[in-house]
Amino acid sequence: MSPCGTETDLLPCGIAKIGKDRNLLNCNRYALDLLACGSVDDIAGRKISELVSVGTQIFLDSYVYPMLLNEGRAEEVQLILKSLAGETKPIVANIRMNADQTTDWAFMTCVNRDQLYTELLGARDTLQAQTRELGRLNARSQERQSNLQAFCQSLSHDFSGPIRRIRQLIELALMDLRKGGIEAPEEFEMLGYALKNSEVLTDLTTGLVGYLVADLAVSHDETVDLEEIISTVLSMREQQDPTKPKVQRTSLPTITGSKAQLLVLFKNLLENAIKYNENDPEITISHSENVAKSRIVIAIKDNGIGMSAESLEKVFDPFTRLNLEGDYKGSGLGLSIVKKMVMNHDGDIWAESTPGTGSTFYVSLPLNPRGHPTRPDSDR
Amino acid sequence: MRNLSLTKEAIIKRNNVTIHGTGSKVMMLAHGFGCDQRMWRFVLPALSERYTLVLFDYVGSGNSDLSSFSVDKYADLNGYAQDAVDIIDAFELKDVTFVGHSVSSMIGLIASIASPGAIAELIMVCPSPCFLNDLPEYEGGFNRSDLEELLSLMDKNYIGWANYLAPLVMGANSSEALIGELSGSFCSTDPVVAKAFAKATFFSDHRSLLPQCSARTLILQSASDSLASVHIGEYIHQHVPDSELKIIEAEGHCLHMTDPEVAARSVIDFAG
Repeated sequence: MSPCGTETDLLPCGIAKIGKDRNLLNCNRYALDLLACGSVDDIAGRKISELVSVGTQIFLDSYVYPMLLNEGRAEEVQLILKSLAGETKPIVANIRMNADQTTDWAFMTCVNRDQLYTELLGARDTLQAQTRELGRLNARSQERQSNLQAFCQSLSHDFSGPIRRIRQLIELALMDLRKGGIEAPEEFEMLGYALKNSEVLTDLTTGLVGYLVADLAVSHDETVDLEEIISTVLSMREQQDPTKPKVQRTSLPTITGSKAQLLVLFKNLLENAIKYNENDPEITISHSENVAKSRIVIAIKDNGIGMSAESLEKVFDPFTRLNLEGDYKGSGLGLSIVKKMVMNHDGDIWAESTPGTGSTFYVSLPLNPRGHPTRPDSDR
Repeated sequence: MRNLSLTKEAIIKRNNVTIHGTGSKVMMLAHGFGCDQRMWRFVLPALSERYTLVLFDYVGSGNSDLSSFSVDKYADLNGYAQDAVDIIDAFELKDVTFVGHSVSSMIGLIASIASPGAIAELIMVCPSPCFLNDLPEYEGGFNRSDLEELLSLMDKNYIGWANYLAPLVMGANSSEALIGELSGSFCSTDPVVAKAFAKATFFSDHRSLLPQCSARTLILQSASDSLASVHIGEYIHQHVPDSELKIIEAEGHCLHMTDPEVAARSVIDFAG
């Protein structure tokens, strides 16, 4: 058996010829070096199964040879050689099968590639496990969400109904007392308190439903005209209470988001701005956009009673009513709902305030959160 | 075991069933690893002269319908055996001669036991009922670590050959259906399926089924096959009641491809 020859010995890759019987016929110097062998004569005639790892041997028999027999060639096959000294060496090989079922091999070591592949597969397996875990958590979260939805329905229907009936009964009792001309100032006062407290209960129920609903998944892909949202909120407010606040504002752009949530968001913010100066509320709505025109910051400034620095820290916490509980209506949930909805839109919210002068709430929202093109006229 | 939930057309599509030849005797050819029904093409001319041949691809191989793959169903060879029985039922066949290469020998064995009357003759080409050593009673040829190295090697090769992220797609999809085109090489076997198939094959032990085989059986073994040696053929022959063993002077695990004339002759001699 003669070696492949001096020319192939100069090549920086392995060359080998394997017989039909899967025995080594010939190879070059590079291959001999990998196999830790001095000359071809030392290994010629050896079965290929003796020169590879056991896993490689199974792989060759069960996958690579069927492919060679079917397609005539196999490219970029990763295998593991086993040298005569017992060392394993990863190689990448191109193999061609000839008509007589002999095969020609060209290969090179690929220690780094093998290492990289090992790491890559490890990362993939980790990712796969995480994907599975994510799927499991997602299923659980969906179940919780549907439970929450059922709870919210129960809250708004099963709670609001009885509360409304209690209020009606109190109002009937008051009417009866008045009709009968009954002088009962204490009873009037007590029923008045009961009525007021039932109103608080209604506010709380509505607030709680709003707070919970803010968590529910909604479509954030709608085109929402903020200008229209503000106008709608002000007109709704006007129908409830004819006292018009003085509102100065700039024209707001169109953004992408959930119309329903943005409506509640600005309704709560504006009601909050009006609430703390019911006599002569003045509200200024202004906005600015960043240089990249990717975000908008909307400022809502009021002339209310303001807040201390300490109160500012808690202003978005749920069930926090910072001012004189008896004097100002509300559930203590309005601003926490606002915060949730802002977060749902990948936004941010913060406030500045001076006690006795007023507060300014800033809402930062992405103009185009999911790659939707902004409307040409959005930069009004 | 009969599957009433699928129509004949759905089964043909799922397993890319193709019919060749016109003989009155029906022979089903079931491919082995790393390939599809194309691996029978070397013996097809000789066999199609005498038999009606039913060829198919296992789900995940060749032109099968990948979306039918399910991790649970194909976690062991029973899922593949069910598909073989589905095909026999769909064509209203009985007493079929089932020729299975390598792992398909065991799939045919499972199918013949599970569906009596479907398979009358079983021709096992290079079979092994268990690749793992169970010393001292049984020498399957390999230790667990060897087979784990095989799986790792398959994984590494699929990085180059196919979509190595396929397992992730799989994980993310609740229906467990795979979407996407198969790589052209490696006989178009999907990486996820190939690995599941390899696990189902190499880590399983079907030795206990051998004595239950009632089909007339031919075991064709290569004289030199590092995956399934002659003594494994002898073991099967000892345990399958109505069996004969034929050792063919051949190299490797793919008799029907390396020595198609001898393989076809042996099949015809046995099946008539």
